[in-house]
Amino acid sequence: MGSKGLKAVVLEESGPPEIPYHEKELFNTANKNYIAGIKAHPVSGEAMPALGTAVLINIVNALGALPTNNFSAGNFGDAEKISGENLAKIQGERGGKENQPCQPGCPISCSNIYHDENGRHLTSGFEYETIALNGSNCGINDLDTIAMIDRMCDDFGLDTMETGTTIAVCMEAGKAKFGDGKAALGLVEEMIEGTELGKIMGNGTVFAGTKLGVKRIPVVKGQSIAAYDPRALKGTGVTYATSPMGADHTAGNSILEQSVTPTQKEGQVQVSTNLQVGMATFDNLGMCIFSGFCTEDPANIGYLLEMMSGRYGGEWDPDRLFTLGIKTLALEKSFNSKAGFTEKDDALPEFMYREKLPPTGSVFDIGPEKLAEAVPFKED
Amino acid sequence: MDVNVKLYSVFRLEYPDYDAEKGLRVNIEEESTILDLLIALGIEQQRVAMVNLNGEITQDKSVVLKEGDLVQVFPFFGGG
Repeated sequence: MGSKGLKAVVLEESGPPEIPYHEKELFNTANKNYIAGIKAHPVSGEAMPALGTAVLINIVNALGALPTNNFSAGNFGDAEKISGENLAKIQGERGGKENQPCQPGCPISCSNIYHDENGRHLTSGFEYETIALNGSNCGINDLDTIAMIDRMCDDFGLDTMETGTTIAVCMEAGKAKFGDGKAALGLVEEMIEGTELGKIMGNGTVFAGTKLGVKRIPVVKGQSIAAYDPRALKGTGVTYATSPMGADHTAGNSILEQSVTPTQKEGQVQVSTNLQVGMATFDNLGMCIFSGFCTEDPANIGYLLEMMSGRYGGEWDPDRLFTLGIKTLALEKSFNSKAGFTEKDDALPEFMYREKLPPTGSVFDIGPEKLAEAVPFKED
Repeated sequence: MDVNVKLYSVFRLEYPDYDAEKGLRVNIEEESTILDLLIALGIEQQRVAMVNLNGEITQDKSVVLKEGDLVQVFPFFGGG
């Protein structure tokens, strides 16, 4: 937005908008039931409210998929130090808060407010992706350092994920040592100051990596890869390669998937396609994807369909609902195609097909013919 | 026999004095399975999404444990 000259967005406080319901009673009853479903699910009802998204650090580490030292390993020896469990412990000691809603009325409330060692507010919304990509991916094992990076990004208006992957390619280029938290903070400061290196970094991971001569640049369609190494979580890897969004894990993350093992080759294209449809559908509804975990129980899909009827009228079945997602994906793909993307862009970085990721020793071995079968949706 | 157990996420919160570095040292009978261990720990097996046994992921709770095994126990997760 800054590049378009947008300075501010001003909202006039005149109360919430009047929402027109086709059948408000039906909507409200179904909504209550759906919320009960969210709270009954072990992830959205237990783990997320208690420990936030940072709970994923130890889990993804155990899967061997935690980006470490610019995606050169999937296991970080100090994962425990930057884990959600340790974060929660620190919160207790310093007066920070877990279980915070990122919007009013959220029934999950998985966000947080993080205090420094003096008990003063340091940052908020301190989430898994930020912690992993500025933490293990940079070899950094100190939550306070990572929280400071988060704070600086928030203050200046930098995407924390892209910042983390950019710092890591700079480390690979020798601009700092992996694990040097102080140097990492210095690099972020350079971005804010606008030094020559800072301006290079400010153009993102592809630009910085290319300029600095780094061969291992973790991006798809220019978007830096999220904190799940696709070699050890192949369903998510298919999503990175084929989603119109680029390497976006929220477009279809296979971490909960039970029907395939994370490193097997078979079945991942179907897993990713189903997830991409589900996520795009939820994007249409304006609902947080964490509120979708409970739809593994079909009763909750039923409540969702009742909410659609209550809000918009008409008959809703799962087909009609998920067609929203399918149409969205078709439209996005069409846009990308007109913008010049081709099938060649539906691929992971070259090094991930070749370099075995410790400790699983896995490479990404799903080829272009198979990837072409993912999200096979065309505009009518 | 003794096995080493590490608990994660909400399971850890259910053990107030849990030591994150050491985990738990649990004494169980020879030939115990992962399921037997979970019963000994008081963790309902349906709540367990994944076990990492000596560095390898398994969902098979009938696996027989050996002396000194490292068993990491995870509840359900999703993300994010």
